[in-house]
Amino acid sequence: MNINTFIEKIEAEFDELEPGTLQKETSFKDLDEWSSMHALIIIALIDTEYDVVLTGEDLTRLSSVEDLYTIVKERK
Amino acid sequence: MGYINAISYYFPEDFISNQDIIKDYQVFAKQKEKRITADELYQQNWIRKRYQAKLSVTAKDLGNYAAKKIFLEWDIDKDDVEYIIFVSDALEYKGPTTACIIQNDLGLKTTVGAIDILHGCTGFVYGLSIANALIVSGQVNNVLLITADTPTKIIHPSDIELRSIFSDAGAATLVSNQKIKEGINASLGKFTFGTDGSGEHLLKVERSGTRHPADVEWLRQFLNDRHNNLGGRLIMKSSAIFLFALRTVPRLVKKLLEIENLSQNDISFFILHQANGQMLDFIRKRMKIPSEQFIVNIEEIGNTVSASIPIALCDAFRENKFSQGDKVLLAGFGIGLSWGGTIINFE
Repeated sequence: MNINTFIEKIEAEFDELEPGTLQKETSFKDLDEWSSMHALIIIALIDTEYDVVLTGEDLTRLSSVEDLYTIVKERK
Repeated sequence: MGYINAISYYFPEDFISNQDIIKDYQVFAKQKEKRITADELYQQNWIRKRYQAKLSVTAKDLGNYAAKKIFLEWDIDKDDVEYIIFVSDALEYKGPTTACIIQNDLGLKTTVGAIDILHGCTGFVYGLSIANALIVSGQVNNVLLITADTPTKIIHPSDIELRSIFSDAGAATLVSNQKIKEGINASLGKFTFGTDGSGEHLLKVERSGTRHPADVEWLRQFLNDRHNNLGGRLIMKSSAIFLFALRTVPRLVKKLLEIENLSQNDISFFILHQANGQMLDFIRKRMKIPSEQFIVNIEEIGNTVSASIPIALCDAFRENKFSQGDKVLLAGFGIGLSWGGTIINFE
């Protein structure tokens, strides 16, 4: 896995996001579109695609897309 | 053109509360450290109560009760029925066809046609489309469509997530070539379908058929369980199913609107398969559908598989939600993976 495909997968899941909106350093929770629904979508996407189960607490702790990518890579 | 003229439904007497589910889970689950409260369970799916048929009662029985109610409640002469479609993932046997047995149970004429459709949450849409095709092609005028299932028989008490969602029920729908007096009388529009069999293992009843049938060793693990999972065990990869629903339903709705040349604003009400309250609300928000136009009745009923759409449609009709000219979008999605929909018109 690499961070670019990881970002593409997340963007593909969020109809609300224009491709290219998410960058490694983007703080995803600060996006205008962000909601608890998106947190659940991210958890489901990562479980389905990478077989890694994140919790709501994990997401609260993380801020950037890169943080998210790193934790998925570590736990995989 | 086919019309949905009448719907009646039936729930078993027994229901299970969130507290009951947690209690059983603590007895049967191996990971005892996982603690969950009734309220947390409710927050996951917005369900407080679901029905459970007795071990001796099958999906066919629930369907028969619903059919007897439809004859009474809507003043329908059962001799008018020319064709029975039974939709379920819980058939009586691998043979004979369950719909054939229903003919005898209900005392319908021996001139009726009878088929089963093995489908789950998309089952009502499939049943409607076949009933409509039989009518439009002039083969028959009145089809009794029975959608019934008993998912609680194939869920192990340690599977708290599945147990909290699924519920047993039967629904009977009369589809005819013309309207009836004081009926629902909604005409059927075009249908659209979708199938992705690569999702076979995301949601299935393992050890329930000819592929890896249940053997003595597999069954032995359930010796202390209430029903021993004799009909197999339902398994679901919930993250993948959640994403599937979130991805598929908006596309399904879009395609339906396209083939009918309508816009989302032309739809008065959306009745989706009542899968999970929280998930339905996500879909609603994503599609920007106002909550008053989006019917959710899952709280006191649960996910009744192929019976969920007719139950919600019947309740909304009885609550006088529909007016002349309303268009109501019906959409089913789930095991298969499978999806399908249609738009009905209150003319």
